[in-house]
Amino acid sequence: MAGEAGEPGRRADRARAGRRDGALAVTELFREHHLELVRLALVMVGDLATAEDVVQDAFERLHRGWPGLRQPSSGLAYVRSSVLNGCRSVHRRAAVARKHAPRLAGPSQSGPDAATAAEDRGELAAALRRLPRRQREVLVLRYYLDLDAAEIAGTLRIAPSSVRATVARGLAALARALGEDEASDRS
Amino acid sequence: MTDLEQRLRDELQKISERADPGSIRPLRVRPARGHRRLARWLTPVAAVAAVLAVIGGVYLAGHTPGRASHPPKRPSARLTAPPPGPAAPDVMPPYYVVVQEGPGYPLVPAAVVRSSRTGKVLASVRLPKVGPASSLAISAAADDRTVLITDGNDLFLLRLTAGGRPAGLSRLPLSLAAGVPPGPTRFSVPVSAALSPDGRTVALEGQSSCGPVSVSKGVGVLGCRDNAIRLVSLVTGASRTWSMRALWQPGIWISWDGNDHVLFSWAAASKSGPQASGYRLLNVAGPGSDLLAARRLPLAPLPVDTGASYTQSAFVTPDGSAVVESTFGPVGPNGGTTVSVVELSARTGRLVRVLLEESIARTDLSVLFKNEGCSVLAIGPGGVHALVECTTLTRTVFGRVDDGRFTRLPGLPYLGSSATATAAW
Repeated sequence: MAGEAGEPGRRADRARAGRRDGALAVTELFREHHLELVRLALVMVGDLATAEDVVQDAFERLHRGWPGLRQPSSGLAYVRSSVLNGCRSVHRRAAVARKHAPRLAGPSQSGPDAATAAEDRGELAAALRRLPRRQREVLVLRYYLDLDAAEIAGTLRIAPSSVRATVARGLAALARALGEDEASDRS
Repeated sequence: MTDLEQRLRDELQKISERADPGSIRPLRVRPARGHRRLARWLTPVAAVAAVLAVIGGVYLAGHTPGRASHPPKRPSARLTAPPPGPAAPDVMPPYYVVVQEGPGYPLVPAAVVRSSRTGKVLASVRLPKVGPASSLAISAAADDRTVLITDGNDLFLLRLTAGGRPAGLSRLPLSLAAGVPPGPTRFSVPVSAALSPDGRTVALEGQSSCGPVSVSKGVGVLGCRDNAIRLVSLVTGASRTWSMRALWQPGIWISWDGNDHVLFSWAAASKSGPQASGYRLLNVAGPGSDLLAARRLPLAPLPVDTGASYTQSAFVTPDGSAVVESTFGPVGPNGGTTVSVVELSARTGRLVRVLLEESIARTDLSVLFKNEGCSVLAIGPGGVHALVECTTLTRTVFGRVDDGRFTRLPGLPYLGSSATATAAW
C-alpha cells in the first residue's frame, strides 16, 4: 500500500526534477548557442529579425519538448533541427504570400526575401539560395557550422552517405551556377 | 579544400556576421495571440524566457561592453564573481589555435587556426603524428604567430603569417624525452613544454624516478625524486638544465613571463604530515643550476592533489606581476563543487581579482562545469584574456575569461567527450 501511495508522489518529484533540469539545460543551450543559431537562421533566411523569431520559436519548442527528449545531450541537435524547420516554414510562407499577392501590387519590398536580395548581392550567395532546400541546408551545416557528415546526418535525420552525396551535388551545382568546373578544382 | 569550398565558407561567414552579439535581442515573451491556448503554455515559457533574457543580457554584455541595451545582470544564484573591475585594454590575440583529434571537424589530427573574434577558420594544418591523447600540448609565442605543438613525443613548430595562414609546420630535432632528467629509474610522467614569448626557446619540465608514496583519502599519491626544467634554444640547439632531488608530486606546470622567468608549481609528496606546495619563479638569465634556488612566491600553498581538489593549472602574466590559476574542489556541507579562476599578486600573494567563480550544487546535473572544471591554457600577451578550457563528462568548451565572465570562443563547435583538444593563443 505504501508503495502505491508513494508512486504518484515519486512521479511528481520526477516531473519536477525533469522540469528543473529542462529549464537549466535550455538556459545552458541558450547561453552557449543562441548567437550561433541566430546566425545559422540568418544564413538560411537572410533577414535578422526573422532569424531571431525562428530561434525564439525553436527555444520555446525545445523547452516544451524537453521532457520528451530521449537523450538530453541531443538538445542542441533538436534545437538546430527546429531552427532549420522554422527556416523552411519562413520560405513556405513567403512563397504562399508571393502566390496570393495582388498582381498589380508589384514585388513585395518587405520580408525575408527582400532583405535577402538587399543583403546578399554576392553571386555565390545568390547561387546558394537557388539550390534545392536539402542541398542548401547541407552546405550551410557543412561549411558554416563545420559539422561533419555524421552530425549533419543527425541534424537532418538522413543517412551520412546521403550527406556526402548531397554535399558533392550541391558543390557541383554551385560550380555550374558560377560557371566554374568544380571537378578540375578539386584536389 | 577547393577554392569554391573556401569561398563558400567565407561567404557564409560574412552573411552570418550581420548578426553580431550587440545587435540581436534576447528571448522575450510573445504578445498574446489566443487566450485559452496562451493560458496553457505562457506561464512556463515566460518563466524560462525571463531566465534566458537575463542570461542573454549577460551574454550580450560579455561580447560588447557598454553596448548592451539592458544593464548586465547575473543569475545571482549561479555566478558569484565580484563586479568587473576597470575595463581591461582590448588586446585579445587575433587567433587561437586548437589541436584536435576526434569525432568532430577536423576528422584527422590537425591544428586549426581560427579568428578569435569571428571564429572563422583561417587554416587547418594536418599534423604528421599525434601521440597519446592525454599528451597533446600547445603553447604560443607572444606574437601569436609561432606555436609549439607537442604530441607526447615529438615537437612541432607551426608558423603563421600575419593573416593567420600557415607559413610552415616543422618537426623540431628535439623530443620531449630530452626533458626527462636522468635517475635511478626511468619511470617518468608526461613532460610538458612551453615556448618562450620570443619563440626562440623551449622550456621542458620533466620528472623521473616516480613511484607510489602513500595513500591519502583513498587516493594514491605519486612522488618523483628527480625533477628538472630544461631550456633548449631553437636557434643554436644549446641547452641548460636546472634540477633538484626531492619527492615532488607529478604534474608541475610551467609558463613564461616576458622577462626571462619561468613559473613552475610544485607539491611535495610525503608519506605523512602536511605536504608543502607552492610556486617558484626561475630566472633563466641568472647563474646556477639548482631548481630550488628559484624564487619562491608568497602565494597561498596549492591544495594538495587528493583527486577531489587541486590546482589544475597556473600561468604567470607576461609582466610577471601575477599568477592566474584555476582550481576546483568540494564546497559546502552538502557537497557540490566550486570552480574558480583567480589572479594572484606574485609580489604579495594577495588576490587581485576573481576572473571566474562558479559554485555547483551536487544535485545540479545540467551545469556547464560539472566535475572536471576549468583549466587555464594561456594568457594573452597583454596579460588579460585568459584562454580557458572547461570540461564536463560529456563535452569540452573553450572560452576566454576576463572581467568575471566566461565567453565561449566563437566558431568552435562544442567537442564531445571523445574528442581530444587543447588550445593556445
